[in-house]
Amino acid sequence: MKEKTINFLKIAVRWVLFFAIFAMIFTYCSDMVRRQDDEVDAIYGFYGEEENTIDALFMGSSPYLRGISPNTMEANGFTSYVRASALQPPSVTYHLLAESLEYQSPELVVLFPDNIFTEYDYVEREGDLRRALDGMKISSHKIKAVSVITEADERQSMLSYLFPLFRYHDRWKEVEWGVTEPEPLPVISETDGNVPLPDTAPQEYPENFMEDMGEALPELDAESAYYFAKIIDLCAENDIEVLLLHLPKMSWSYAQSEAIANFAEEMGIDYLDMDVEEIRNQLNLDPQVDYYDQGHMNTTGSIKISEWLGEYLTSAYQLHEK
Amino acid sequence: MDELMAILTELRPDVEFEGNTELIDAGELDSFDIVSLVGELCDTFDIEIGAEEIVPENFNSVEAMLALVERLQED
Amino acid sequence: MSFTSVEFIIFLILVMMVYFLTPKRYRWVALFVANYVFYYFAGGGYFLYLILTTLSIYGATMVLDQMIGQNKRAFAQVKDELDREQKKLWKANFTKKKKKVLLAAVLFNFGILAVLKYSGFVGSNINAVFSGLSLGISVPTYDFLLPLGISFYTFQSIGYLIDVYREKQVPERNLAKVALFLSFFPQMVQGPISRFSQLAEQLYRPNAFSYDRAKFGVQLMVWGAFKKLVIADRARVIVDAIFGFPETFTGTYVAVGALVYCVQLYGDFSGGIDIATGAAQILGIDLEKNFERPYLATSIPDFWRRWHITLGAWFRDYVFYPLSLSKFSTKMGKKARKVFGNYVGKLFPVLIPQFIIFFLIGVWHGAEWKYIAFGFYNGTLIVLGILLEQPLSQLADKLGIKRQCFSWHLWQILRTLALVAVGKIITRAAGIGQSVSMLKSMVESWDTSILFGDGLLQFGLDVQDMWVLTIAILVLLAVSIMQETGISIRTTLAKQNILFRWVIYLIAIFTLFIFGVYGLEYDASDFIYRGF
Repeated sequence: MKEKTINFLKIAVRWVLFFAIFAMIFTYCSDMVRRQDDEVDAIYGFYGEEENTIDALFMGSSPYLRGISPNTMEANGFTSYVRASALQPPSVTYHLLAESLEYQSPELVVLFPDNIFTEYDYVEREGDLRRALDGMKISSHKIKAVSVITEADERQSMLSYLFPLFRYHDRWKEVEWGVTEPEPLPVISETDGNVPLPDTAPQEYPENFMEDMGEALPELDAESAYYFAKIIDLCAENDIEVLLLHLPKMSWSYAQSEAIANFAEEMGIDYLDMDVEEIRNQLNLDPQVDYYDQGHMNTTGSIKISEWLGEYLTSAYQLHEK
Repeated sequence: MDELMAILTELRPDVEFEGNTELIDAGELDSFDIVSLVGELCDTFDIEIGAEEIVPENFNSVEAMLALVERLQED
Repeated sequence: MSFTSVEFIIFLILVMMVYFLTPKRYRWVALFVANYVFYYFAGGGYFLYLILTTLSIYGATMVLDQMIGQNKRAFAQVKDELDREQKKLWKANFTKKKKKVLLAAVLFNFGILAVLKYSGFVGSNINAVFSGLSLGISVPTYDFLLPLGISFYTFQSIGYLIDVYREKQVPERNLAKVALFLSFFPQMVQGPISRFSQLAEQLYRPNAFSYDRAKFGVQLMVWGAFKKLVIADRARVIVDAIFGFPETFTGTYVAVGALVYCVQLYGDFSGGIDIATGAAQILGIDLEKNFERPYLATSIPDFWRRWHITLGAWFRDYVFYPLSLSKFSTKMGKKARKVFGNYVGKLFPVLIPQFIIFFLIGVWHGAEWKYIAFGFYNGTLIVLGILLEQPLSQLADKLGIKRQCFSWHLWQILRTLALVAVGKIITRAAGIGQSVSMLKSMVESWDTSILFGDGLLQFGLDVQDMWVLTIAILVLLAVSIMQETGISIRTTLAKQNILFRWVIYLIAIFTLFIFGVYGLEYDASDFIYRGF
């Protein structure tokens, strides 16, 4: 071989070797400084599920994360996963769903509807955004999701989301180097994405809960509605049924429920509100015992509603019987 | 040549001029020295040295300075 | 597009690829395009001023070129018939003609710079005077946004123009090439200011890719990023705290602030220059040095030969020498000798121009009274230094103080550093009033106990950050001392074993990644769960 070629190969081999060592150290450092969070773990654990085994996907915010227990619903013969995180904006939900569909082909997507009224503050909510995004592998979907964020907040950067080391590098001070072991993201989630809350805060139903007081219906936020529509279209393209499911929440109201019911009808999808009196009675929740706070179920509460939900979904939808 | 050397050694007795070709580049003559030197050269040799002639090539060695002087005397 | 941003790295990689893949004949064109692309993204597209300067300089040099050529031919025809006096007259006449062209272009370009940079300041001060005299009028003032690099490319262009005027440089006839010389992207942020004779050839010739040279360039850029991200941006926290709360941080804190500001400024400025120089080096272009371990200087003039070298050199060649060698100056010198005696008289042609130079350098930094004060401070120090040099060395001899030894050398360095640090207080403080009060408080409330205990932890940097800063500064000091003794770090590194080199590279890269001050601050409270 010519000397030039030999030289070039030598350099190439060196680069590959150097890069390999670099990548190892980079991963090590990233795992050491990353902010550990069980919500991130739950989002990431999704990848550990065997491909195309999930029948129902639950997408949205923390009420789902805490309140839906796929393990409980399994008794009804279908597999589900909760891919939700605190205060997840519809834009992230959309891209997260699009990514999820690369790994799974569910028959049903259950979508959290409450935040369709909220204008999302990307600047304030970086911590919550990362609860979802730090759990996503690098993909075109993640890049698109991050683009929405970086456009809204120029302090945040694409690089810091693709490589969390660049976000958390300052945490070197909080790590005991050489003592603690790095903790990479978990391969699988034993609870299929559910992160229950054991504590209880006794609640009380407010006066005139869910009664039609003649209030004006709240407006849908334009950006949120836009992404909801995209999610619905995506599901339609893939022959996936969509259910808007509202979980029990003390600050809910008839007006909000009506607004969503109208939206669901417009978009031709189903809507189920667990705070509606009929269903409330079936659920048999005890507000003194089953709530973590006014908007989230605790562990016992989540099991109660998941038992009910499992039966409901099996009868309402043709979910894969195992 | 001798006149030139006399001026130089009077100006900076501490500098070794013989055979030195880096008087400017090595910082042995600084800008103040240059100004004083130019003043003396103009007086002694009846020439005009303008700012455009103050480049290292003209002052790095005694020989270069002599060449400069001779060139300007001819103009 | 800051030098330490991902965008700049991507830009540089793209430029590299395009430049080295372009056929050799057109590589300079690729560079020209790259410059303007950079200017668009980094400079917000304020092309107008850059183009005005380029066109005016091109025009002036072309006119001068023609005049010079004509003059040479005309002179050649008659020179044998002229005697010395007539030759001198011819030369003087021609110089007058040339001067008109020179002056027009200089006034135009410095005029742009002056208006953009100083009109707001001048205007508001005039208005202050007017209102002080209760006159009802006021002049309009605008606060102009300065186009990227204007302070640097204006000087570089005027230098080129003067070189042509002096008939030391044959002007470039290709307008695009002139534009290339005046817009080289690594120089647009912080300089250095180059000479045509040194830079142009490198820009126009087709540079071949050299793996070794590219390696050196990248290493220099990493080093620069280290100085900026790890040292300067960290030091900045301390400096901002002390100068932001001068009523709290009095006495010794002022000294700490001044010294740390010296570190911050050096890290930031020389770090940026290193990144620029490294980037240029990858493309096969060597830029002139702008820093040479300035804080190891032994005197104020020595400091200015090590700090912002190209600016000092520019002023020396284009302002100082013309002023001090002018007929006016030599005449004054002769008169001064008669009045003040030989010693001062000899120095006279130097003193006034030096004062002017350093005053201008002070003012060049910005349009505020504190920069004028800084100019006076610098100028005075220089003049005093020149005047007192001989008497002081004679005194030292009389006292038997040895001046060739290490301890004296150290004394000189520390003394110079102290004087420089005081100057930095003047430029960093919010205004002259604040710097005066800070200097006063430094003397009055001096209390070294703050250096022990928790005194230094009050600026917003915790213990670990202070350690990182200290170690980084020690690394910088070690490297500087090695360089001062003539060691070239990059060539020495290249000679070491590959394992050692890789360890150094990895340490350097991860030092930047982990200890660099960049990105959003990590505040755990932002991440605390907020249910709704």
